[in-house]
Amino acid sequence: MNKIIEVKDLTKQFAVTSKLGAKTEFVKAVNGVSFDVLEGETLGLVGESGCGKSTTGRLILRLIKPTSGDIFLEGKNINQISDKELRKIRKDIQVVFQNPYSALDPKMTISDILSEPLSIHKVVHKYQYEKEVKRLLSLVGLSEKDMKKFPHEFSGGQRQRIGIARAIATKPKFIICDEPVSALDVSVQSQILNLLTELQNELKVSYLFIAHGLNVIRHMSNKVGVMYLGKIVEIGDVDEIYNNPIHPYTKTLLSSAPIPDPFNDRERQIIKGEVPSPINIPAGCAFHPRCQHAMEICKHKMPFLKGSGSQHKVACHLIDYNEKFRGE
Amino acid sequence: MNPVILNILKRVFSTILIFFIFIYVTVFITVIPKDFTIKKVDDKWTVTYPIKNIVQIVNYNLKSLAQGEYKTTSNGKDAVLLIKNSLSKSIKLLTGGLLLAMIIGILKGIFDSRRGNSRDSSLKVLLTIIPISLPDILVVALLQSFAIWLIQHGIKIFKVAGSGTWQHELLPIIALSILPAAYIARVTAMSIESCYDKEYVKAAIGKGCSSRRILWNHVMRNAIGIIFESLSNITSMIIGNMMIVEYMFSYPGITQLLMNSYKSYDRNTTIVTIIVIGIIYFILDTLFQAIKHVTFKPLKEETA
Amino acid sequence: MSLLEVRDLKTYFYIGNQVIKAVDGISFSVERNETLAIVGESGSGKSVTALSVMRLINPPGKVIEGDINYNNVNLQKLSEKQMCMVRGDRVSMIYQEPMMSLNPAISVGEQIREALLIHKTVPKSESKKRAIQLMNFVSIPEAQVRYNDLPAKFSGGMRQRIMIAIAIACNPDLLIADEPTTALDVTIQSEIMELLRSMKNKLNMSMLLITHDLGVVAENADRVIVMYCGKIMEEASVQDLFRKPMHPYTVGLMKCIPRIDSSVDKLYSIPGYIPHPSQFPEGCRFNDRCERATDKCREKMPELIEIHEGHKVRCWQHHD
Repeated sequence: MNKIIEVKDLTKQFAVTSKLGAKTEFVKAVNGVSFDVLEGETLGLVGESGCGKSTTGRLILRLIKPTSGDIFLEGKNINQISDKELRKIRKDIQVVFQNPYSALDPKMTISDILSEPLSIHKVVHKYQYEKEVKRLLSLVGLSEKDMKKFPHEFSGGQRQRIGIARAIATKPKFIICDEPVSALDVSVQSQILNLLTELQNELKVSYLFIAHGLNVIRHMSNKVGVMYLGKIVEIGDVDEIYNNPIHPYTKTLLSSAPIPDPFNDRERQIIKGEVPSPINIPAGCAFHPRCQHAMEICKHKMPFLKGSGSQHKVACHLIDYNEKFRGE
Repeated sequence: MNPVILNILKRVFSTILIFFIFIYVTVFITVIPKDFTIKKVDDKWTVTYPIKNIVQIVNYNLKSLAQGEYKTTSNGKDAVLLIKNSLSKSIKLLTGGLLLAMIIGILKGIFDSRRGNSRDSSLKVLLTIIPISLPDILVVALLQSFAIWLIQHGIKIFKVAGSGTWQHELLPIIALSILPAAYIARVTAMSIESCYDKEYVKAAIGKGCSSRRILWNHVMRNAIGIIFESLSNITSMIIGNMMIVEYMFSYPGITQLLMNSYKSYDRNTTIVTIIVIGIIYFILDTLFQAIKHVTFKPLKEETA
Repeated sequence: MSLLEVRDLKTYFYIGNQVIKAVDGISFSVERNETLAIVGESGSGKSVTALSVMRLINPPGKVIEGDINYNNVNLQKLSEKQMCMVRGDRVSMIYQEPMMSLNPAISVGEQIREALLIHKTVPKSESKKRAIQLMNFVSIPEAQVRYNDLPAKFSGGMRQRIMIAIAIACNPDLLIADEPTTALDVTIQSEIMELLRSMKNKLNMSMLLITHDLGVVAENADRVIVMYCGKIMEEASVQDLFRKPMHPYTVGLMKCIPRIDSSVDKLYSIPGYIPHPSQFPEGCRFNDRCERATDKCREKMPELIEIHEGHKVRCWQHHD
């Protein structure tokens, strides 16, 4: 299977303006991220606020320009291309946003919203627009009667379906789903997740699924990457990571998520302190001030992602120093 | 170099640059001859006086100004003394007017605002909007008529024209303050109402705060910042107003001096008065910016 | 005698010419030292219920009818001044967005102190010391120094702790927590819920927990009420609710949440959408989404009936 998207050492720094307008400090929102997504696969990116997962999504979409690093779409480097070429490849990389209420232009009818990508990327001939819009609407579970309506006439879940229809309109190879269900009610979330899965099977599209809900990520992803302060600390096959987490942060994350079962008695992993500000990322391993198992080396040497078993990589000094720690 | 210092230097430099351009443009405008115009001669647009000549005159004037030629007026009087006197009178007017405007404006604004209740306050707001909609001259003239009516009925607090005693300054200060007061009242009412929509007001009510406490401890503390931020808008309003007020009350302030020296073709004094008024504007503006930074500073850190 | 008893509460909103029946006749009670969770999605009326208890409903909303009895005192009949004495002192509330609920221009210490001063819990000279004690109680590090810091200098989790400190300052009997962890990261969520649990025990407080997250309910509640479209659909102890959910809505809700400890190919989903509050269906409000709906369900609204001890449900399927 070929790689649809490959990301190598992606970084993004933002300047923080302070004190009378001078740019004195920098936020390393994304600090050296590498991964790849195969055809028809879903990579989940999970982490808490400030970890850089949404920024990573935007970098791949080229909505913002990376400070350094490379992004490859089917082997072609899309980081250094001209604006004209960038517009062309936007056909292949689409996005579904978090907020269904602000992602759709309130002054455009559904038909306009869905015809727009068709016309920009010349997906079908002009006279076929209406037919294609109807087809897209049926693919996402809406009726053709909805074509002439405006976004405000729909509920949150329905609007998200329209957003998804818009994303698949250009027959993309890769869709970035940036928290697509976080703003929806629980009973509607499962509908949208099922829709996304169905579409993936039918259209053979790959997803980068960004979310903070660990349960949603587990359901949707084949592979998952756990991010902390701009770096991926653990990445691998989803069942492997959830059943056998190695990085202390992953373990804490998994044990903090509330489980809807009052009879479940599990051990909670304690974590000290608060997430540090992304302006002052700790030296060495960014997680060391909060880690129960922090050692001397963690304070000055940054760990790199290393494979422990195929397709399961962890960035933690513990796997070097304590072979027994693996599998604990 | 420290980026903060660099930033300050950049700002200082641009301020000085603007100042010099301002002086140059002022002199330029006063030097343009009365019959300067652009005419069509033989199918070509030309100016009646070549610009080069005008620029020469400007440079000459600038030089003589720098050499101190402004010190006497065309009538031979001491210009510096004149300017000093009228400036001090105008400053009295400005400070009095500003302070009064703020007090009346903020109080009226609090009174106008709905303060969390949906009671209709449109009528109150109407009273605030009327002074803003009327022309300044009308407002001042009405005020003068009112003062005369009072005098006719034996209440002699206001003196209607001239200067010399504090009673002469009372009416002009009131006249100067009306328009800015109405503007400040609008801003105050709107910022108070916007604060009442905020979550922290609901949380404060949930704590058990009385409505008086909510208004003064919670809402006003945030509204004041917004009010001060909009203060810089009234600088031009108040200086323009001052011109009308000084004229109609025959108050010998600096704008009166400007008008008189212009009427008597006293170029140097005119130029210097304009520059002085410009400096007043600049000082007022910087003052308001500073206040805004001080009161708004805590809120800017929200992005942390 | 229950600590809080709500009977037939109806809170309606009048917007334009529409009547939005946000809370349409609910009754429940909170006992001493108990955590009652109200769970529901948007439009269920759970937040409006909490605001109605605190009398924080402003026009265009109005509490149309119902009794809200706190310690046998009808809160609806108190004057505004008397209500101000109850709020923050006997019944406190914490909100979803800690950043929005703290005044950005006042230091956090002063905001905690304010609660003490309004209700005269301690003499004024002692109030600052007590406020610092409260900050320590909720585990805010370096409380003495951070007393003077503005809310913007704290992270989301810290701000929620400050809100909790304000809420418990006067040792209330009842704490209403309106989605206290929704806006927080998951690791902070578990810390805050842990803090609330320990507060509840140390101060002998009851808690009314409003949430949409069944995981939070499972880990914190003693009893649960499930609300849908302004009405209570099911009420039970937390064990009974998860072991034997009865109402089709509750069953559906539990089935459609993806699990962190197992995976399925296709998630169960409740068909249809939550109706707009101005357009509730006739009869049982869930009938247009219910797989087991009958004609009776479409015509007549069922009553809330106790099926087993402590377990009530509003559903015709269980009424025989």
